[in-house]
Amino acid sequence: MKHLWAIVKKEYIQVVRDIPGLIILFLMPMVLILAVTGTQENAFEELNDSKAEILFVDDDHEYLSKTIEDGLAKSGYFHVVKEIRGKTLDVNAAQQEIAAGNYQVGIVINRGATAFAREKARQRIRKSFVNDTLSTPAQTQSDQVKTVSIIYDPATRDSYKNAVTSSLQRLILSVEVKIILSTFFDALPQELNAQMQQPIKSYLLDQLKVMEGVFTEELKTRLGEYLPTDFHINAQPREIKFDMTEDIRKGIKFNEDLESDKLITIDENLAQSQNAVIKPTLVQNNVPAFALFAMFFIVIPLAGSMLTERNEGTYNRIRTLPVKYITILWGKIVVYASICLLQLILMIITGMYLLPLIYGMPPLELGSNIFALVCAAFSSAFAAIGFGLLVGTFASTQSQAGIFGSFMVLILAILGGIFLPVYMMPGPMQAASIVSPVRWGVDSFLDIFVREATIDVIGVNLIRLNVFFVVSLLIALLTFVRRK
Amino acid sequence: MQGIIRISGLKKTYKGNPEVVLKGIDLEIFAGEFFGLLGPNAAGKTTLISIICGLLRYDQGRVVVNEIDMANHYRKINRFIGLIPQEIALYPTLTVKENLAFFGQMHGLSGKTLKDKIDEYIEVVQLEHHAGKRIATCSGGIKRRANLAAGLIHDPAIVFLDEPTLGVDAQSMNLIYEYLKKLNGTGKTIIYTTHYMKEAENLCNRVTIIDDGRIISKGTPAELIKNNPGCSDLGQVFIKLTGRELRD
Repeated sequence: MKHLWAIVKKEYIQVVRDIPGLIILFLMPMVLILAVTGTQENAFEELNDSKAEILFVDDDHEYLSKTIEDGLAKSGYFHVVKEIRGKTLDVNAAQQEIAAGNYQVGIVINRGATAFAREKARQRIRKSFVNDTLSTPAQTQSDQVKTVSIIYDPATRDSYKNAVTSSLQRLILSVEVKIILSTFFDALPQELNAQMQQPIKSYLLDQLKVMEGVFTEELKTRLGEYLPTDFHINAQPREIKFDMTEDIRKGIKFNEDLESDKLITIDENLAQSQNAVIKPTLVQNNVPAFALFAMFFIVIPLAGSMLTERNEGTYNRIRTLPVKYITILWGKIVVYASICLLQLILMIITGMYLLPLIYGMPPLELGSNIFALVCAAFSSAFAAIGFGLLVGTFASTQSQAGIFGSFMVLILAILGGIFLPVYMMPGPMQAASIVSPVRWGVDSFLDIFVREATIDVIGVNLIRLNVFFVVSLLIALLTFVRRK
Repeated sequence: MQGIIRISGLKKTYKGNPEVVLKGIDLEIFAGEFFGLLGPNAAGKTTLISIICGLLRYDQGRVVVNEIDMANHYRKINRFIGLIPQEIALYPTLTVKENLAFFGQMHGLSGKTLKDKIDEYIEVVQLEHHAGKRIATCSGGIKRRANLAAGLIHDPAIVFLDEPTLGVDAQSMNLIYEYLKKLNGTGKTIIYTTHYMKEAENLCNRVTIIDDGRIISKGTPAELIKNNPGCSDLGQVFIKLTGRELRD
């Protein structure tokens, strides 16, 4: 123990007297997190402030086009462009603008789209409520009408295309429901209509949140007493069936007031555990990511310390000392692991106080599982030390250790999802990321900070981190013995 | 009387290099000797010392140090050997005193004993005014003296000195000579390698000259001079035996 203490003291003195090294270890990560978080925050703000321009050609001038136009404008994400250089857009002009690369997407509401939708709705109501399954409406000219067209620039990103299409589909769906409902009420006898409107509306709104179709057999049971005896609900309007579970998961809520102009409100519902109360923010995500990044940079001073000893004679003297090499290594591990933990504390303080102070961001919340946090901190620190031991063992020169170590940390960090979340990576990269100790550490902290995970949830990653450390330590020891 | 270091049939090759570095060394060094190990560059001196100190394994032969067979128990000799390597084996960011304290503690010294030993060796190498200086800021002479003190602080019975006067001025050199003589006078065994033949002639009771992994001559400096007609000093003997050809 006396030996260990003497080595710890020696390593400590060496570290604290290396001022440039301390700056790299403590100041650089802080500057990095401030710069990166600030940049990301500004980028997000910019993205939110600048709405995507979308061309809108209204050849319908009716309920459908008005509702879609309003919906797009009120979504907050799109700036609807109907005129260019003082001229109202038509389909050809929109196509030319998009082909020229001036705009990425255009939406065309074709002539007669609302009338066509109403006609289709009437057909459905008739088919569903009137016992006339025998009579199939004749195919009319209106069946061929394409209600809405979308024009894309070929260079448009798939993600953007999907976002526009998805928004449009939801708007159309809501319009479709409204048209069907109004057609349904129009089809009822007038006195029944007045009597039924409120309970039916109320019921439908309720059902919209939980059921797959607007009309079900249950509707017949509940409203049976109000319905005329010659009304039969013998078919679900499959055409307007939509997956409410999916929509609710994505955070879409239908406005409770069908008369309101605002048809759709978007509300983010996250897949969190029930006891999770922490909101995932840029700070919650960036602090653990860059803390791990900084911790793994311990490779430079640690490998440097090992190489200085090996290349400058002290290594030989150390090998003649009556002390086991593992004790020498533990002295280093204690000091450098303490530095890693201090780095983490500094990054946490940055997240809790500095980022909110400078950028007005919400402060970092540590969650309630402090034990899990401490375990993750120690395990990550040990893994970072293990990486440093490996580099220090196999590098021959300081510059080799510095360059190789830095590049490897960068690669491990990229694979670990520090710069781009793992879920956004291509499949092979996601598979490769599983070998990055940085990812194991970041995942553990994110689980604690964002998902309120307990020790058993992050257990697998903690085991990986500690096994990595132990294997690295064994390799360093075996290499020392082999070098004799 | 048996030697404190006994070496027989020692052979050594390095991995990846087919050249045999030591080609069957037989050597005996007695307790209390001031023993000079001489040879041109790449003769095998450092390899031989590294094996005796337990830093390297050997392929064939037998090495016994203070009755400990180095084949199996090399770690047991650590307490009674002191190595003063050719390089400055000190931590540059630590002061002279901190370096001595560290190596003293590694040898089990602590408390007052450690403090007394640090003071003693700082006085011996006359570094009283430099004890608080970081090694990185010290001159070559101070570094050499501190390097010497760090290898001796635990009072080893056998001291290995690998060119301890390399690059030092005449004053420091003289101080080192004087102290080593005094140290040898207290019964310590000193194994000394140097390229300065005059140094070996003046200090060593006995010398061995090795070249190309073999011992080519051994005896007292006077014996070697006497046995090589036409040579008036050890330097001439050395050149005569090892040739004028430059070595790598």
